[in-house]
Amino acid sequence: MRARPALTSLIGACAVLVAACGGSGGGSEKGIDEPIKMVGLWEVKGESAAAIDDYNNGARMAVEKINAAGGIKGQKIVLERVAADPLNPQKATGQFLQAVDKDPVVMLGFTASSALLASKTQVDRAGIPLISLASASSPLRFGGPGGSEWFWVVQPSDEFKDQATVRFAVEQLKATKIGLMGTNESYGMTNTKAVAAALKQRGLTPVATRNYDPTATDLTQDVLAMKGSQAVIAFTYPNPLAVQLKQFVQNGMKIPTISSSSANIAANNKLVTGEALSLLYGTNACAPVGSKNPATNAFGQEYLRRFNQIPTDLAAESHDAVYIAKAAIEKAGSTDPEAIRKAMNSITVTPQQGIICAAEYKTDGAHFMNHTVSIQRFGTDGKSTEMITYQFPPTEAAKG
Amino acid sequence: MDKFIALTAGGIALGAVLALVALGFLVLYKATGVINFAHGDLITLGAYIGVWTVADLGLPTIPGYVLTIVLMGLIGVLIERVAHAPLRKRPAMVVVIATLAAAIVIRGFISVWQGATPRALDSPVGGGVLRVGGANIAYQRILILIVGAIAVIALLMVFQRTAFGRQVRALAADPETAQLMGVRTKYVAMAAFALSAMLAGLAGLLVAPLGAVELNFGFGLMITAFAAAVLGGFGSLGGVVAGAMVIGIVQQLVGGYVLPEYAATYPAIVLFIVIALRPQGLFDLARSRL
Repeated sequence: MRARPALTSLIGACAVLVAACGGSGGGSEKGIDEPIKMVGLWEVKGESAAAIDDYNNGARMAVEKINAAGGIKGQKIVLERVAADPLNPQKATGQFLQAVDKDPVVMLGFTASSALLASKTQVDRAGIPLISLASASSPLRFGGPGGSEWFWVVQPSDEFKDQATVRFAVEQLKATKIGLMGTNESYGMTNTKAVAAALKQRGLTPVATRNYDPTATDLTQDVLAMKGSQAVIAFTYPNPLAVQLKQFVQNGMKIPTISSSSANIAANNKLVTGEALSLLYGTNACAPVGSKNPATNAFGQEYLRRFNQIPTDLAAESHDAVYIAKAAIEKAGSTDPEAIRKAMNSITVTPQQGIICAAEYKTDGAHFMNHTVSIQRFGTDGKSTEMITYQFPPTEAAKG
Repeated sequence: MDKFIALTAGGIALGAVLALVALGFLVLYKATGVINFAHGDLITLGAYIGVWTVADLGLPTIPGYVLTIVLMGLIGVLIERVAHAPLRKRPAMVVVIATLAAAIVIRGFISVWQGATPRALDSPVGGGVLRVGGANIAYQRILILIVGAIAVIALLMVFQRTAFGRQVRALAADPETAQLMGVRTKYVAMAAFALSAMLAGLAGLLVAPLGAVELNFGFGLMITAFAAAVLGGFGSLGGVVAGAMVIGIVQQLVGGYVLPEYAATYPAIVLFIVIALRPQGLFDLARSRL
């Protein structure tokens, strides 16, 4: 008989404990007074050979703006960070688990698709919504082996970028003779092949295709092979892009070159100047300085003032990822992961809701959210001007 | 014909840079028996210090470059003190591993100091070109050739006509006898590390204006120059210079006409063929002599 009060007390204590755990445990809704924690999976300068500050700076600017305006339904955002090395996908799982240990409501980042793919199983298991800043490549498509119901990608897909470069070269530059250049590893090879296929659909054959070593310091042979081209599409890194552009000019070849975000980096950092720069075009989600959109420009100017650096589109996308998370939490009406997941699949985030690097973000079947690509050209100060923006249809989920 | 001339000029300029890098390897190897795998990162560091002195501090080109070379010499001495001197009695492989550690430290330092963003170093001779037989040859490549030739001749003079050169040659021929005869290995090693780092820095300064400087800048040059050094027999200065020229011209000319996508692999292919057919190198004219 004496045991009964003790048992009752024990059950009562357990109930209190369970209730307490239920209020703050992973996978369930956070308390109303708690700040909303987001964790960024990216590096800052010095943490690896590829580390840049853009992701962190862009996201922090968004968090500061949202908190200054009262937060998300009155709750402030706290942004923490785990250094996720984009060059070492084998470390990605451990880094993702570190982020999970911080018990966030939403995760932002993985800036490389290889890291996201490597940690895909853990992403599924954690059940925490993740808004990725990696390049939206085919292997990440929802429905395929690399996709997940728990992550979404804010960058426009590589396929869109490839199609945009071809459309710009053919429709705006009126080029029918197009040369292709790129690095001789995955990025350069995959995209030069994709663009060659896109040209073929238009009945065009590349004047020449050259894939070179990313550390090349002399591209004479590759540059001379482009003779006769009216435009060159290049999938390369800033350093060889600078070599390539300088050698075009040195060889008296005034050929417009369309490249990726490497073009912005080369221009921002004055790796190419003068005539070489005047012939360069970049393909990106947006141009934070020089955009026709006043909000994008305001972000670019504010970034420039605070960090003394021209922001890349990566900074703007990181900024937007925070606003996408805010919109999803607001639509979900709670911080419950499942509710946020459902909201992510149905929201349309527009510039009125704070985003600056796209006309809208809307999840398609592949979980890709941005369907616009803009082409920029550069001034002598390195600042870019938006030339044209292309809109692409949603990507379907992968089959199987 | 203009393509042939342009490719040949590019090949010779590449050969001149490879010669500077390979000689940096050779000097150190002959004086200490160490192959320094931090050499590629020293090339990168030299280029970044050049950007710092000229672009950031605003020094005129020649004082900026001289300061860079001096700093590189001091960094070479520092590496010797940290990664070589404490390990001198240990097997050579231990020191080689220590140079790999030094490479990681240098890369980490650059990463914290400069970040991952590429930097530009303007050419001291501008972006103009010399027109030869219908081909355009950039002034910077001509500068590389001239400075490379001067550096090689100066190095030959150092080894032939100075006490340091005689001591290094003695160490290369017979280290034990040289030490018994009073060669001060400590100072020779410090000087060799300094000279090697200065050559790496000079190569970095010369190549940087062709494109841009980033963290992997020196790695490809180091690997290709290593092939040149092996091709030259890792023996005489002349052999290594000839090896570098062969590699540079083969990469440019053969790569320009045959399977250009694989041009970057040609130095390695040449290296494998030479190792298989003539392990002592193509120019083993004076083994263990400089």
